[in-house]
Amino acid sequence: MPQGSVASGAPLRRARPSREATGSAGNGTLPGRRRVSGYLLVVLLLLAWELSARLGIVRSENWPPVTQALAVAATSLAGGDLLLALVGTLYRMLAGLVLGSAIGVLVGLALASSRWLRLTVEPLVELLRPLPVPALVPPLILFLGLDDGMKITVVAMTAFFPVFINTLEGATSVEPTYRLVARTLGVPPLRRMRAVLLPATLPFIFAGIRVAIGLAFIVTVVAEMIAGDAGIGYYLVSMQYAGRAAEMYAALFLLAICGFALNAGFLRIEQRILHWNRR
Amino acid sequence: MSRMNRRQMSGLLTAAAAGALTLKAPAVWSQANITKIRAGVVPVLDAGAFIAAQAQGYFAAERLEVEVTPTPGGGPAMAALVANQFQFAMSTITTIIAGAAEGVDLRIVAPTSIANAPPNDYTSILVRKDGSVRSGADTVGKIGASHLLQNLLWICLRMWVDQTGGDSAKNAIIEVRFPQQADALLQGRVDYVASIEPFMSAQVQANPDKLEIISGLCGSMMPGTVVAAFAATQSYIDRNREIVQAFTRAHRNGAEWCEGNKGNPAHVELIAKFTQLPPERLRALLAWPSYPRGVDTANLDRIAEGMKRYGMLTSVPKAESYLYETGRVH
Repeated sequence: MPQGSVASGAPLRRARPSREATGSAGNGTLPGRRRVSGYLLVVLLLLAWELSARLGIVRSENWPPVTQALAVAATSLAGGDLLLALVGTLYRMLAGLVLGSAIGVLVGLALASSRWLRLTVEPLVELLRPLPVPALVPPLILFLGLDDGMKITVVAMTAFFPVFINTLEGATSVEPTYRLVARTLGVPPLRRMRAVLLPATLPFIFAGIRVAIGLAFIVTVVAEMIAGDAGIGYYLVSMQYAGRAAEMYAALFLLAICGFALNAGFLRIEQRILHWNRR
Repeated sequence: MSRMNRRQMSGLLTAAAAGALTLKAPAVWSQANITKIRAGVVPVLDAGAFIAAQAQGYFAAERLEVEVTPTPGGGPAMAALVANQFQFAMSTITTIIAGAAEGVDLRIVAPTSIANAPPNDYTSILVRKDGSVRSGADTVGKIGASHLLQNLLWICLRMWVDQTGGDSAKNAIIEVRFPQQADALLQGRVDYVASIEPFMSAQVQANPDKLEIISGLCGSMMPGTVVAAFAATQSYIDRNREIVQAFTRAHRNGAEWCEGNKGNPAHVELIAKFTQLPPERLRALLAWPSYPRGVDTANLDRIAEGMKRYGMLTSVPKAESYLYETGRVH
């Protein structure tokens, strides 16, 4: 079974659902301590932020105490504005992620099964892959407008590449013996794909999706900051230009928590589906 | 106001103009004599007349139903306008002029804001009190900052340096966004900045012992200069002259309402609601923009000359070519 993976061109260690990553404590002691120390670092950094603002070590309208930002986050969430913005952002992000990932898997498997197709399409992919997708937002406004269609497209383009490259890498590095045995035993092509190729490629696909989740989240917010009138990205820009720094940080906190939750949630799903692939 | 520089905009608008020819215009439909239109509006002080026209029912009186789409900057708004996503869009004046100079069929249909001569200039030059910059002559070896390079404030900043004994061609002027300008000044990363309301009053009032305004900016360099405007495309105007006239009539009424109520609680409440600025911050403004009924071609030609002088344009387009009749002073 292949174990390496590549995403966005750079060699990446696959996001394997290890016990440490998912927090399944096993015998409990060491991972538990690590998790506590990880959270402790976050608390210390927030404390440093609070003190720097309260004691006037950093004096700026753009640096409110962290407790003020947290209080505003609670108020804004309760008020509904921030929650509405967040729901909009998550909708656009997930729609783009699902679309881009699905296309990435399909194209990756197709290219893996045809050398001719791979040689034809790969140069185009390699040309497009380095383009920073947010830079495409202004021209895309022309064709797709400022609304959800444009943003979902941008996110899908972002999610496509890591999933596609990982799928291709996974599918092409399946042990040739497995394929040959299946072929020799007369297993039909579709069943070979379902029973041999797909299971062998799934760890790569999941690694690609995990990378894509982070990128998709970032690009959704960036696209909202550049164009449109909805979502956390627009909220961030609006609050920044309205001089409401606490509201801006409240949105950032929410983004951080959402990103963390998405990653943790995806790891859980990966762990369930790929339980056979755990170390 | 605009958050996209001129070069990006020129390329984008040219591409957009070409592409728009192949696109189908979105429906602008009439239902029981109500015409629905979509306008891209940057939520800043300059949009006051539009906000008032909407809130006071001037658009409705013209049988216009305006779908307002706030846009983070004038650049994306112009791109969406050229792509027929909007029927009207607001932008800084330099973006519109640059587009017109590139042959994009943008037309100014209603100016939104004007910078008055001091002491009512809502743009200014902000410095550290303990710094050495007091005039252009002091800027040698210093770093200036503008929200964007190659926009109206950047032109005026260079004019100020050149007219007060300095040489802006030899100076470093970098991009620092309005909200971060005070921090950049206080940390000594820049020495003078081109500021605008509501940032300039908030930043000076938050740091009265450290920051000060040493000069007006756009209103000082070009008194009465138009800062931003609503534009439409010529092709839209040709097909919808009555709608354009109705839009600008309502906008002009909004401008009159704003001038008559400037700084009053009702005005502050309107602006605060649309821009999300805290009302107390608006009440503490040192200056407001003026909301004009129209603009003359000399005003625009003067800006275009400044754009050419500082390398934003290779030739100066005549204002008659991009100022539609509804945007003129009547």
